[in-house]
Amino acid sequence: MNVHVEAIHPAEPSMYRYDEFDQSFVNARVEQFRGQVRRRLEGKLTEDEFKPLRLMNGLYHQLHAYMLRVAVPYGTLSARQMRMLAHIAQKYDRGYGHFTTRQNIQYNWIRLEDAADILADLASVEMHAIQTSGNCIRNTTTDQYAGAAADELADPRPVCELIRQWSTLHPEFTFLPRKFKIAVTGSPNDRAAVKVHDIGLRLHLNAQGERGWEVIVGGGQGRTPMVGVTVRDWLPEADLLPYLTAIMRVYNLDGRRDNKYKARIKILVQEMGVEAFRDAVEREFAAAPRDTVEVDARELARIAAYFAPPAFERLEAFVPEIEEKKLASREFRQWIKANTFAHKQPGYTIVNASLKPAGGIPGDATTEQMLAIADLAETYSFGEVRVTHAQNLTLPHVRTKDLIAVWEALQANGMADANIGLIGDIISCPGLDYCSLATARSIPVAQEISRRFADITRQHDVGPLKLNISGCINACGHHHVGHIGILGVDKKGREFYQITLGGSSANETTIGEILGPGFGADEIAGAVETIVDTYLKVRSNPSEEFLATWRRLGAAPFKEALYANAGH
Amino acid sequence: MPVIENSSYVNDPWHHLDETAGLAGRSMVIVPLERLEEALAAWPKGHRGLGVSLPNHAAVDAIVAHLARLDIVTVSFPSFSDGRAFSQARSLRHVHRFTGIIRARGKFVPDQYAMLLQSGVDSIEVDDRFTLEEWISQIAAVPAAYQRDYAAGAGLATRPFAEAASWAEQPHYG
Repeated sequence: MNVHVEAIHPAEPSMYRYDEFDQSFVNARVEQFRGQVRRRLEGKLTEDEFKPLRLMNGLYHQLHAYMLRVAVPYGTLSARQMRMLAHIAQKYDRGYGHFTTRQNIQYNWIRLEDAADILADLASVEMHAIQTSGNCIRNTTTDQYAGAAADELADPRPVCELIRQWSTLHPEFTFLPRKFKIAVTGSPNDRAAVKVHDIGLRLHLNAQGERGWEVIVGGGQGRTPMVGVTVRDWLPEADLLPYLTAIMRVYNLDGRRDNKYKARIKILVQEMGVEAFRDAVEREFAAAPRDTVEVDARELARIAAYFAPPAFERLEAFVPEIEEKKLASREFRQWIKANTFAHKQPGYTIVNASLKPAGGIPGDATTEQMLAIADLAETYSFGEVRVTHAQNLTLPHVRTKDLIAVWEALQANGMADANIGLIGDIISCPGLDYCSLATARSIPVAQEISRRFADITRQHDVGPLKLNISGCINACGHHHVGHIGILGVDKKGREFYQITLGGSSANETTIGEILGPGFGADEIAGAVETIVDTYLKVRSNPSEEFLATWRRLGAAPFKEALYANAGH
Repeated sequence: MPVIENSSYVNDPWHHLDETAGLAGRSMVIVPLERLEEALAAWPKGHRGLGVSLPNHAAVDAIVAHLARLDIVTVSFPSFSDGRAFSQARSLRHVHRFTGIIRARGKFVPDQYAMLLQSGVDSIEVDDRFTLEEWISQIAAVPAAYQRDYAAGAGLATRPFAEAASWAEQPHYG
């Protein structure tokens, strides 16, 4: 299905807009949830029965309060939606929200009696919390630079939206063995971690310029981290939903339900063997009647029209005042280097707003910050914001000549730390400070490490380095794919932190290797410093990145530095 | 147990046969899967009135060859969160074009009723925990679905949805 794209709302952000159907669907869902809460309170539903129903509307019961996780489909928000997120933080929470690794936002201090009202507020700006939890298909994630990046083949978001619609309250796939996560990339440089998802989709173009999708299945993190395997190199786009349906049916029927820790599709693929799994999917795919092929094509074309590029101006790529500012200000130069990314349109730049200030909580944004980003998006980025899986925010379409103004505004709101992709840009789950599954705190560890590396120039000297922290084996903080991964565990009532090195969710996805015995809460930041200092000593030259050094030398120098004199 | 079809209680003509009961002279019976071969052998060719109970861990393939001789297949929910029966029903109805009754039994709740209908179930066996109104009101709770082909052309099951013309011709994925 190659789609002819035409702008239909030139004045609106280039993103999907609800029509009457979507709006009535989401409104009905809000009222259904209101009724479910009432029936629970009346005792018509047991807590066991209510739990999956509330989870499917994003409502968790955490350590101290209810937590509401709001879906940000494939990480795209309008300024108007961001303002509503700020409003909810202010009115129903404590003045902040937490952006997550699934490009969603969660509020940690919600009252059950407010939940339906919040969902109604969200519905008023075309948002919801449907399937942000539960054993169903979760929010589809993608490249935060989708539709903007110079290196992408095509904007993956129309396909993400197609998957969102297809998977929303799917009659057949809403009571799966376990949760199910899909990620999509339209770029040859994977920024969506497609190999560590239940299904990863990677776009390819053939010699004729036709679009096909590589289908990767069975990746995942959690307690059994695995790199996904390709079951189809090239799936014609018209076959996408029928093929996904076939995968889901095989999983729904044959996935394990006897043990929740073995219930993800990666275990099914492993236990069946890739070949047998692929055969089962292909059989299912071939057997199913194809009633809806034309619907798929028509629907994808309808969706794609909403994602037509915004009305870019014809601009010079080279902007002298930006180059002069870079020469004059090291801070600005560092910010440009770390926090901006090449745009496909000459004269435009992708800007990342860092939610990782030294000593801060990764991914947290205050009401004021959300409002500031909404204003910046409206003034400088065609009204669009993205949430990144690394828990930052992105202004996708900034005119290069506006970079100084945007930088200054971000500075004024504490979002200009020049650390994207550097050691200060820590991914962290909420950990034992909020989460009822956690076995250790992760936020204080992230805060301590980011304080130690607060010197931005030092971070730049160290170079690209992803540090990810999870507060338990479920790996919400993606520690398995951090160049440095930290896993918090409980050891006889004491928090203990295990280090893995060499993980990556980029094109050559690898799972990090455990380095050795863990460290106490008071030792872990020092251990990270030792690892970084060791890397600086042993790298072959300043342009050899941490991951490359690890791949060249392995664990030996790091083990030596950490354990030789440590008495472990 | 009461049976609901097309938004009302119906007199259920079907009897469940256990592992040991004799087959001779019986009609309108639903046999356990492990007795299907035996029942088919005993059943006079061309006679109707035979059904099978498909456990949710069994492959649909186990009965596919016999669908033309079956008038009812029951699918089961040992717990309401175990959703295998949705795929079994869908597979029977959509992939194998089964035209008989698909009945759900077990521990599902009214909030799942619409999805059962959409997946191809047209008959539900219920206890007295929920009223008929509670079952029916949940069909209308979200009177729309993105998966259009899950309701269209699936027999009795789709009537509540087929009549909801508001969504049937929407240009959504369907």
